[in-house]
Amino acid sequence: MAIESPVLFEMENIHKIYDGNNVYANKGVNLSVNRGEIHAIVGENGAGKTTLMKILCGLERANEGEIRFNGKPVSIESARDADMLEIGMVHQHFCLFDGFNVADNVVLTREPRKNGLFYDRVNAAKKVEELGAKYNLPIDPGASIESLSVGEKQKVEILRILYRGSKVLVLDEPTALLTEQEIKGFFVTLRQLKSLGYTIIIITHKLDEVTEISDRVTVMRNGEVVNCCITEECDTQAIARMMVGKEVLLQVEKPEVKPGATVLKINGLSLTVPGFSNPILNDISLSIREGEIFGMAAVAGNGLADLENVLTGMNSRGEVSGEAILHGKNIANMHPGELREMGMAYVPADRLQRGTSAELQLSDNMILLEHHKMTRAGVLQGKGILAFVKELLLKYNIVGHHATPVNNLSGGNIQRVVLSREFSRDPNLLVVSEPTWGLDIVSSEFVYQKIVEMRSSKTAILLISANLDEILALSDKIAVIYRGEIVGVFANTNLDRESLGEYMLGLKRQSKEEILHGVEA
Amino acid sequence: MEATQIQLRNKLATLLGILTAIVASLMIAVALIFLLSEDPGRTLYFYFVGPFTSKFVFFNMLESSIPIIFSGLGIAVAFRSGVTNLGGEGQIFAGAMIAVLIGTWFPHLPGIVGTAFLLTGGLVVGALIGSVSGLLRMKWNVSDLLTTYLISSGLVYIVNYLILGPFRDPAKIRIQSISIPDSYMLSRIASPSYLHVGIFGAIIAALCIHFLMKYTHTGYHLRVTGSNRQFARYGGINIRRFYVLPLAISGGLIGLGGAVQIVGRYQACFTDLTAGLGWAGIGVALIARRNPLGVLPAALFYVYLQAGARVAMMNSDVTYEIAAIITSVIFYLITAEVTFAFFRRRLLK
Repeated sequence: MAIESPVLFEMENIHKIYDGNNVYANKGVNLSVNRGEIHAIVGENGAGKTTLMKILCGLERANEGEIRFNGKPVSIESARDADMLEIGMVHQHFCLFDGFNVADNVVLTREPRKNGLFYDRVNAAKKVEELGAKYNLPIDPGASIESLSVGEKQKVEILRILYRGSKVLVLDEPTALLTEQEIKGFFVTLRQLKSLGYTIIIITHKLDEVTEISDRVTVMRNGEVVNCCITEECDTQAIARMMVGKEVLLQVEKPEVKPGATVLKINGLSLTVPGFSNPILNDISLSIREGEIFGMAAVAGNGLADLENVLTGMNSRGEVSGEAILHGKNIANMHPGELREMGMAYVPADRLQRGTSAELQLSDNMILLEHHKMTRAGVLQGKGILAFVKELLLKYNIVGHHATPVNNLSGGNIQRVVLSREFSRDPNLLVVSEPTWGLDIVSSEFVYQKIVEMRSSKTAILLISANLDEILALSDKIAVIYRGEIVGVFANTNLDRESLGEYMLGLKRQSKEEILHGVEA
Repeated sequence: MEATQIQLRNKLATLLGILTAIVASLMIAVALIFLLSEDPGRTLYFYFVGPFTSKFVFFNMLESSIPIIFSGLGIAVAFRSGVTNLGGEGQIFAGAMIAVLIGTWFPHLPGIVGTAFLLTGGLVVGALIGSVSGLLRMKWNVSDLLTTYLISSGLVYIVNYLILGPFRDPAKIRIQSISIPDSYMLSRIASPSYLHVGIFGAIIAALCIHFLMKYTHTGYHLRVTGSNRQFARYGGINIRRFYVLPLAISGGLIGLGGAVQIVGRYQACFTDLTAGLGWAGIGVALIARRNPLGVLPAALFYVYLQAGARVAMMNSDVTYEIAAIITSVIFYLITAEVTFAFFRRRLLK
């Protein structure tokens, strides 16, 4: 009898470009997964992990490349094909139906039937209960989905793919929304499934989880596989270095600007949200001066989005404590309208839902902050508005007509619309969040150039970004947030991705004194 | 593609969408008539040409568009501003009733002052009714879709009680309220039809709402908030205000429409006065793609179909049910997004 190869499946030379932008999501990726192992795939946001797994599960199609299962080439063109190969995926955002109970969701499309026609509810509940007992995932089959906690919903998702007979389980950032306690229970389940012979692929960017649970780890960066190793044989520092890489590729010309007086001073700002035992933001303190770009870096899910909301008056979850002083006033719980009057400009991460109104025309979007000044006796001054808008279109090189609806523009042009509106007011404080996600290189460079111009005109700038290249290229000072806390503050001299990455991934943190010193410097 | 060209194609797509929907729905209507009528030729003639065969029918058709223009405008404003007003029936009825009440309480004002007073009464009452739903939404986040409908349903009963009880006119055989003085009635334009100068009022109202939404500061706030509340808040607009205001404008227009029915046509209130005018406004606003000026042709198209159905019922074997089916099929197709999406895809790719 031939010895069975330990390799279950291989993906070879996978290329994937999404329509619309010419950036490779996957660029010649090779992945090999062994039978019965827990295989972790790690990488920064946008490294191509999820794309690769979607290709494996038939949800995306590769432009190029080959997949071999048990040594035989297979073509996976749909979720059905993946199903035949017994591959099942649990997505980062659960796909469960509210209004139906646990058993309904688990057996969906494979319902047990009465007389070959009617849905057999009793039998479904029984089957789901047995399945839960067998895999130590106890759950009440009759519970309604909306009554479940996040951890329980995940159990339902896993039961669903087990019910379908999947032997390969792909889990996309399964712990992102779980509490510490739920994560422990989840890992017990994973180990048990492994002991039963299941093969598990887990996508994550939490390094402590990789060392705790995985047998092997594949590291991805910029759509390529950097390394694949046995977890026990490599240390977390090395994995972190591989994830973020060393070289900073992005260069932005920045003139000398001498920072002036402090504009925004944040003291002990915290955000607590009901249901979460730990604060979402914990005791954030920092100060930003005129002509200074202060970069806030973190891996997604560590509190950057909440910091953006709290500082700009858009927070709608939880209690804010502590203060953020702008011109002698605490702005921590102010309405956006008051902040605007105080001279704050704000480029939101969500430029499509928050930064613009898609169905309104360009001019309506651009006069949002200035329309008060363009009104006489309650009537908008058409000529003045047209001149204002035309000037901005020209100055920011926006390809569009003043009456074009925003949803007819490209992503780069939409961001230019936002910038033109926010930057043209000569703000004294500028909050910019994730300014270049999804933009091509030309548009990104334009955005950087404009931010640097604002710095030269003595605006204090808070740059919030999970993109390390951008943080390093633009910032004068950098603070790293990990799990809602500042874990390091640095002047941006001789920093590289690697050293920042260790802080972002929670491998290192500065002492309280160092952080305080960094903030004061 | 050039930006201006994109825009042009966008407009073209909407126009083609509407035209296709009209042609397709008329074709289905023709097919239905062939299927359901013994003498399809005759039915078709009366259905589609009928409204133009006599001045009387034609001018009455124009008259019936007046209240629908008002309710269509009210609904269009609500939809544009991101709120829902399903209370048209109650608002029309209450507006009409208050006009009757004011007219009987103050019977000796100079004609034109009295008319203005009655109309203002309808406007204010409609606006107040709308505002209640707005306040409920603002204070406790109660769905405006539900409260407008529920309040309206309640109002219908209250007004019915007033007509049948304390304000009934016992001298009339028909069950109706007491009448307002003749001096408060609007003048007729094309006797013997019912068409009255209110038609100009309706057109002026459409122009005013168009101006309000497009060219004023308040209209800008309504549009911004209606298109995207998060964006409005981000821009510093106090979005809480923009539940009450749009519902007040919407209810006010519809209530005004009710008062116009009294001073223009009926002189008194009776239990079937609304007859679905509030619901028709929703259909008309949807055909008009929520555009105030578009409400004018949309309302005319609506009453044309109704008039056609009426003439056909009188002159051929078309029953009320068949006419209702044909009208709904046409409406359904015209308001469907599918045809618009199709042309947008074709023209913008």
